[in-house]
Amino acid sequence: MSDVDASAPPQNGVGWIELNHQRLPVYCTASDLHPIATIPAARRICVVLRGDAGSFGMLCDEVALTAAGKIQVHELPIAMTLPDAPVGGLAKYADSIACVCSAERLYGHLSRVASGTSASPHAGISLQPRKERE
Amino acid sequence: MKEINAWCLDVGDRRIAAIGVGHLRHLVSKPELFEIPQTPAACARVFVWNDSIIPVWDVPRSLGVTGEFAEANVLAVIAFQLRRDTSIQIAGITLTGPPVRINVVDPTSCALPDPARAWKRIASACFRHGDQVLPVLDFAKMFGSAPEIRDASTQQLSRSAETAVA
Repeated sequence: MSDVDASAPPQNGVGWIELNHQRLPVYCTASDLHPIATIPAARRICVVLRGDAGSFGMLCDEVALTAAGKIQVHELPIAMTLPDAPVGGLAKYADSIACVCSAERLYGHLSRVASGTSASPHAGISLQPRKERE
Repeated sequence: MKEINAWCLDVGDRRIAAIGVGHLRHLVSKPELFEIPQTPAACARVFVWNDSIIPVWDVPRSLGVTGEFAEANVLAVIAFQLRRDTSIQIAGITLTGPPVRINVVDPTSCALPDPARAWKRIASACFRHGDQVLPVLDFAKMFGSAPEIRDASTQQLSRSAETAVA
């Protein structure tokens, strides 16, 4: 997080990070994937994602690498689809459900939606959606 | 004499609906549901059923009720075909309690309850059972298309009906 320059952040973003001589926008979202301007204390990792439209940073609480062949991605049921929504698929992962986003869809969503003003109680960029019952 | 065998579902927010007996596959008490971000309000959660991830419908939300989800005491796991030549699909509907089996002889069809336009997006018929008005849920309308297509086709149907009445 110390690498993120929070001055003059991009629209919907929280700052910039420099990587390979490039200045990349950094975003932070609540659990509903809406951008938030206030960074929760637990959000200490910046992951740089690369898509067709360019690279960008996402602030995360935790990051885990998983081999693509180890999870089965199910297409999002058609009744759950919205135009330009970031989540394109679902997968069972670690006793929960992972939302599967491509970097392109996520970047398109983040650069489109209006910025929120505060973090929700469930703020996080975990790939696992909030369980209703713990 | 016509006879209907159905399940009467308490779908929450003091609303009831009916489905054909053959559609109900299983009941799950206190289901563990997962909310998926950036999805339609009425179909924003999923359930893991027999190794599959199935969409879960919340009827009150599709009728305009907002706020936090009401507690889903029971999940009705239902099976349906979008068309006769397509494979069986599985989905879930949240209930506040276990469904009640009903048998109706010579059912009297009636208008959908309020909000009728919203019910029309998810129900294909409606009948009376005693003093109850029971919309019949249409799974193809609920689970067979993306929300904007579903809403557009309903609006088109409404306009056609209005034109026909006029």
